[in-house]
Amino acid sequence: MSADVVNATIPQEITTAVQAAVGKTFEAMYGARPEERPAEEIDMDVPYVAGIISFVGDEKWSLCWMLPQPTAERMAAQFMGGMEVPFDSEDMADIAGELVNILAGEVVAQLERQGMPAQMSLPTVARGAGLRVFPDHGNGVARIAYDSPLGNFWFRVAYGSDGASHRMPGH
Amino acid sequence: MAAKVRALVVDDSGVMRKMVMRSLTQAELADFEFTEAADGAEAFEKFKTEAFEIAFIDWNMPNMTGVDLVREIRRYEKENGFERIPLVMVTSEKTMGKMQEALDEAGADAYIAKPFTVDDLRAKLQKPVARAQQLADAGGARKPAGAKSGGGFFGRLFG
Repeated sequence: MSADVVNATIPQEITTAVQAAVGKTFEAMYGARPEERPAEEIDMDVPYVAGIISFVGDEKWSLCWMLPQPTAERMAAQFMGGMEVPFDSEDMADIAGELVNILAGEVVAQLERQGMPAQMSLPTVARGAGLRVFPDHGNGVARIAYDSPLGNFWFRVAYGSDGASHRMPGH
Repeated sequence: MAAKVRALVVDDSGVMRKMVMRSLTQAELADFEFTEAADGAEAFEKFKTEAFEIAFIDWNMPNMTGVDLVREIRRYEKENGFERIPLVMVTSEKTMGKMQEALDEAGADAYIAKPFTVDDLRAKLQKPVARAQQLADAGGARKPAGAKSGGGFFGRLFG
């Protein structure tokens, strides 16, 4: 399934690397690959926690992993070996940051295999609900949505030649 | 009875420090006594003032990266004539070039890729933990490299 590109063009290598990394990382952590589904089928106006990371190299872009509250709570509990992690806790923010950090490591490895070396930033985390963010002029945004046994989640890939492609999370 | 192995766990994420410590305990490779540090600078200060037999170091940290911390520790060990302790990178980096940099150039002994399981730790950490246990059983790494039991100033004085 192709990513839902909102505007402008995002290099195919980037969305392909994200999709491959999501499948591989999620399976390694949670035992099954999530299923990609059309982004418009997912209700994005819900409380979420987002892990955000930027990439620099031949291309400048960023990745935001948006986890709706129920999904975040289930994933965090499993990540912590069954321990309940409150949505508004510092631990939840740590876990969201760690998840996107782990995923980004795999994205970098996937990109390197495609001849597109990249370096990743430190992760940042945001919590919110119903944010609508418009990309800078000329920048591209893609949404890639998934369903999994732990609940749905989605990614926002923001690509911009000026590197200022992800000033805040949203959809 | 084997001595406790003093382990320094370095990660800017408190959750990851907990996870590393819990997984290492579950792996039952040694009887660890953990000390935590939330970044490279704090870890290096602790390394200078406390004794450890092994360190588990996150790669991607603010201020001082894990690789820079490894370099600093190796430099400090060399300057002070201390035994080298096993340094294990715990990282989400998966590119081979970066791994080679950490292992060959900076001086790390092993790496664990996130996400990891307890079985991964058992499979990859046998050698570094065995070396750490050896250091712990010998009384620690804070004595000149190459010194034998009973050697050194006190050894000569009382030996």
